[in-house]
Amino acid sequence: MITFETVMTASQGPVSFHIARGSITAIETDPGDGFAELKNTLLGLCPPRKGRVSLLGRDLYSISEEEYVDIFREVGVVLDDGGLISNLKVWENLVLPATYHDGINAAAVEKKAAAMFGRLGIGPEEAREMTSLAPGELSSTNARMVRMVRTMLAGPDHMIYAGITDGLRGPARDAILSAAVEYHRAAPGRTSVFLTTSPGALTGTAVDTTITIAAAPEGGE
Amino acid sequence: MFRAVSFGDRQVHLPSMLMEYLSYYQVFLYSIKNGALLGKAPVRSVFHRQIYFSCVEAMPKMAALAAIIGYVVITQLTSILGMNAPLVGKILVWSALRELGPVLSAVLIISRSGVAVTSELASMKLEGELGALKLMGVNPMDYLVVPRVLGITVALFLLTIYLQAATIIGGLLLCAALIDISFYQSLGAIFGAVTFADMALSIVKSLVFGAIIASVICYHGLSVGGSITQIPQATIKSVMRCFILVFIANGLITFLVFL
Repeated sequence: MITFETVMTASQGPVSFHIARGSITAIETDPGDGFAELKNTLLGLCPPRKGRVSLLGRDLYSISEEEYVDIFREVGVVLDDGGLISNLKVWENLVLPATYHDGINAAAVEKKAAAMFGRLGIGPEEAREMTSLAPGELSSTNARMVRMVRTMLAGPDHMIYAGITDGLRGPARDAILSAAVEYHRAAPGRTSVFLTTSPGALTGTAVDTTITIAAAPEGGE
Repeated sequence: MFRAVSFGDRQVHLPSMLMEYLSYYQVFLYSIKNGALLGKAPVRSVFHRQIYFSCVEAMPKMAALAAIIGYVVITQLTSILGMNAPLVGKILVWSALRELGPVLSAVLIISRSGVAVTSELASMKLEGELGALKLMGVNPMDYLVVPRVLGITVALFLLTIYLQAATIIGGLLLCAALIDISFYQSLGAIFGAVTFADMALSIVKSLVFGAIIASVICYHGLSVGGSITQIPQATIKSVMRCFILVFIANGLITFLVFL
């Protein structure tokens, strides 16, 4: 599903790996520039200095913008920061992908969203209050949960979680991981990739493979 | 290759300006080709909001303004022509339907929606929200630009009709109250003077102006680079470009119609 072929960024590389469909994979890397570069390279936002990045069999850096957008209908991305549309309320952000792609009625989405928030430890009243806010009024943890629910409501078969549990502890972290694994197992063939800067962040989670990417040695390759 | 042309102290790089004009046309063409996207609920929501903001919200304040403009035009006309209802009616039709309605509506939409849409899209781009949309599998052009271009075009058309009616009816009511002109007689004269060609001309102008304004402001909003200072620069440029193109279009249409 994801292939890095001798990829080099400004601070990392060369890196080569392949993530198969249907697996749960953790990619651990250094915090700061290393994580940002890896995330942007993986998501097609920053071309690598060398190498090839493929997502769903397509080279991310040699496709058209239309093909790029098409890929991310099948691949859900949950970012640790940003990603919410500021001129929409939280509720409108939540239902945007599902109503846009699948034409699902917003009212029909409400039950599903409430159930997902419940799994994340957010009760109906709290969820109702939260969804009436503007994105800028959300706490960092709640914003991550909103992004997660929004992506899952669209039902993609492949999920990339970029730093979603980094900096979180305790019940919030456990709830997010548990919800992610539950989503993965809800349908056969789903793929989940966790990008993280915290070694052992996914301890206790049924990860198939852990890939560790260290900073490149100083002075080049 | 750029060819610099001097206009006084200013140098204009022709190709880049021509490229921008071509881009405005491409934005409009893209929006027309993808009009079926209004079938998607989120896109339709943006379309409706745009019409509401550009047209409906402006209507209450514009009613009084339009009535005052109508009063001024009628008063000036009767002071020159006397109480010649048929002739006053004809000139009022020419001015309100053919010129004041479309042009005033365009000015209003440029000053409200032009500033708002350009700065909104520019902020969204700088905040990475366009990238966020792509990561949701949503083409930013489809979700942000198409409904705005179509919405503003429709809004300007509706606002033009509204302003024309408010100018004529409001102006006549004020005149009836203030300078003893017969409301019904004047209204009858106006209806007698309106032709299908006048209506068609005002519709064509409103749609052309709406398409120009919407395409220009969306293009400049999405063209900002990475600096926050580019937001006001893009806003100023889009507003000025809108004014220039609308007045050029007005002159061209008038020239072609009365050829």
